[in-house]
Amino acid sequence: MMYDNSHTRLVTWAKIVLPLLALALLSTIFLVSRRIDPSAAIPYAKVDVEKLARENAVTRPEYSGVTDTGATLSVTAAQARTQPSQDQGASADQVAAKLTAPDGHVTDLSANEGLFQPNSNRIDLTGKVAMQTSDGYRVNSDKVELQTDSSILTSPGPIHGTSPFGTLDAGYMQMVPTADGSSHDLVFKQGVKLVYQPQQ
Amino acid sequence: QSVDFGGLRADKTAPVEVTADSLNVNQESGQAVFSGNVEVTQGDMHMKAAELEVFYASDKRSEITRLHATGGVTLVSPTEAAEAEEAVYDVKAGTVVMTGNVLLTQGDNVMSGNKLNVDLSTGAGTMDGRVRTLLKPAGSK
Repeated sequence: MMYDNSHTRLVTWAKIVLPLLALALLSTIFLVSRRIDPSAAIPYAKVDVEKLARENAVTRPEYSGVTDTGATLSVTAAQARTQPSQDQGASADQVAAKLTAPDGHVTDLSANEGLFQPNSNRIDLTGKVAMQTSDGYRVNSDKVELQTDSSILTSPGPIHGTSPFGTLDAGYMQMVPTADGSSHDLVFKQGVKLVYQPQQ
Repeated sequence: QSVDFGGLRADKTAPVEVTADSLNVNQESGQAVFSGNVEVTQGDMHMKAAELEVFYASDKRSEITRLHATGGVTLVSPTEAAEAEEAVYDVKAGTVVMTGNVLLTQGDNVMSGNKLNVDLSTGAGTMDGRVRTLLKPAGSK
């Protein structure tokens, strides 16, 4: 039944090629498709569950209070864990503190670690402590102790920083409320060095 | 009486370095007081005092206009030394005004008076108020 006209030849070839093509397409759905691994379907959180359970950590804790001179103190951190060893203190990391004096002066502090000691009303900030006051003092220190009840800030160790009129180095720094309590005094001790570059 | 302060030159643009035992800053008024053997150096001019207060330009605080030293001030340069009770160092104008029984020693010459006014850029100074000078004639032992 070989016919010589081209149409019939075309149709006979089509009858062979097209089903093969369909078969190939169908197989890609089943044979080639990715294996779906049922066990990996749900991504598990990679957190050490025992550690979390043991240390009962708090994420994004926030402490705020008013000191006896009326300055508001607010301290936030990335995560805080209670200290099993010490008496109900808590340690936190990535701590940021903000002290706002009644007269509006703001002091911002940030540190890598913080140790909350509620019974001695103190928060110790350690690890690259950076302090900045709203009137232009920018001070770096290794450790700053924050008295939460009397808004006294102490850096027992040496500090390096800049003041509005030049770079400043000192062996000890303390920020204490003034007598009337409305503002703060910055006291630098144990050797102070200021370098002022006169502007033209 | 005008005095030539040859040695006491200080470049007004040189950085001013202040070292002291302690510094107390009142954040409200921005008043800064250095205390405890304060030393101010600019170029080769040194000033020592017991206490030093920093005064700023009224508009912006990053510019110091005057340093007011009290409690016995000595101003030292390689060739001269001046002592007084108080001194005001005008950083912008580059002048030092010393008051309170000023004693100025220049090599062998000694001069005392009530007020000494030194222009650091030119080194010229005027001493006034009961000036007494002790000149050692050259060549005498």
